[in-house]
Amino acid sequence: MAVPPPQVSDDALAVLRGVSERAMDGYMLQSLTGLDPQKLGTAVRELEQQGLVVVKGQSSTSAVSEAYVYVPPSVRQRVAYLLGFQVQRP
Amino acid sequence: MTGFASPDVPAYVSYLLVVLFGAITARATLNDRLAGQPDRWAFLDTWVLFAAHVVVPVLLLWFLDYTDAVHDTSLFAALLVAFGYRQIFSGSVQGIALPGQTSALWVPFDRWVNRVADRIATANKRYRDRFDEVVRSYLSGNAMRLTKFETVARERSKDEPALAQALSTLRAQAPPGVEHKIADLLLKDLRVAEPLQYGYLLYRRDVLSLPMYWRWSQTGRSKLMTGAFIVACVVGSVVIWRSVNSKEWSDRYHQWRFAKANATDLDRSRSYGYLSRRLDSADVDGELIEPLLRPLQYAGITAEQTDRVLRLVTYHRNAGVNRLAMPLLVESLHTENPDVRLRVHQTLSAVQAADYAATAIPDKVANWVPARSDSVASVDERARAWSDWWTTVQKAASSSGVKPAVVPAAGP
Repeated sequence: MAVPPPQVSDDALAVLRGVSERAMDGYMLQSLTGLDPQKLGTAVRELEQQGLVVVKGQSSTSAVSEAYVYVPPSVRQRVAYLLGFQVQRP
Repeated sequence: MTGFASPDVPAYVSYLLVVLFGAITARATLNDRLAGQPDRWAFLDTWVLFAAHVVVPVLLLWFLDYTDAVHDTSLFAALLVAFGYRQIFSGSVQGIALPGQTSALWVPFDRWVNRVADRIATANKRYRDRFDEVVRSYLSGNAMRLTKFETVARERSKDEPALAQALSTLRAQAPPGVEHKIADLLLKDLRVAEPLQYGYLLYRRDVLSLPMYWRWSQTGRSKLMTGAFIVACVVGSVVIWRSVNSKEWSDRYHQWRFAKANATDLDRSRSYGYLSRRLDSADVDGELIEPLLRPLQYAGITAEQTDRVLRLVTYHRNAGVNRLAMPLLVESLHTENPDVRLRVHQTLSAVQAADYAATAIPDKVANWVPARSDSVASVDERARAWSDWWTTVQKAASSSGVKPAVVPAAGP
């Protein structure tokens, strides 16, 4: 039975795409995704709750820029699957 | 892999190559795993992971050789292990299979690596936060510097009016530590605008000093640690080389290779050549001879190994070698292995006939043909007879003041 892919928002997907290969701090993610600290914090918290990223620091709006976000090795396949699935999605 | 044609190199070269290329692979592996953490090489944990990734292929090569999956003198095997040890553990390299459940050892190792990598990420974040604070204090500690900083930040800001407004508000409110808060605000804005180049910009505009720029933005501590590690490696290599490049270490190495049951012919031949030269030299001692002959006392030694050892001490015998080897050969007659006992007895007889014919051996030894049915007492009696004979030879030599003549034999 096929496991349905996790549902993530577009903002979270953009963040996930950014950190899929390497850890990034919030400043780089803001620059990469164009999200403001509030949206970035929301996206990061969403990914963190689904266990797709690890956040070193705080994901609150005021502190998310300083946080380091990365994909732990244990979920790399899941993230690759998710990104592949999302790329194929029309 | 054992049947795979590969250049055969000395084992120390193989292991050295595995260390060298293993280090390159380890660095690449950790750079990939810890990508995005700029100061990753500044932490002890990273170097612990690095050392573990260097040691694992070395142990793997030794283990694969021990289990006869590859020879540790095979150049290709060494390179394959150095670059592809993870694939070997996962079983995806054809021709090299780890025995039993050995490959499962990779799982706890990988888990440990993940845990340490997570600790490094935490340490990296803590280090960056502390250093950011140092930089903020540095920038806010001097009015001229803060002005220059503000100019750069406003130039590069993605939303300069909003930044100007925020600065005005802050200055109007003038809370305690306002300069520090201004520096924090400017730094955050600049980092959003120039996430990669902010450090360089501040350095180019004389806001940051070169040492601070290098340590903060150019991962100076990582570079210092790497430099210190390289210096330590060079010094360590010189120290190890100076201690290893000695007769004692060379002796030990070749004794190990010579006694190794699954060594290649070429490798064994190299050690045979070395040991032959050592036995023919004037400074033979018990440290050289004893480890070579001790395996004759082990019941599990093969006929091939036995012949190899006996050939070495017979072909390269001389007064000095005999003085040390004969008591050990006599002692090895006590072995549980009757085949070895027979071969040793024949060797003793041959040496007696060739070099010490003047001192006859007792009849109980001369007529003895060691067999599996020999009792312990019978073997002990013959061994004592050989021992007594050798004592007589030695006494005769010392009383005459002349060493028994030994004709140097030809090599194999």
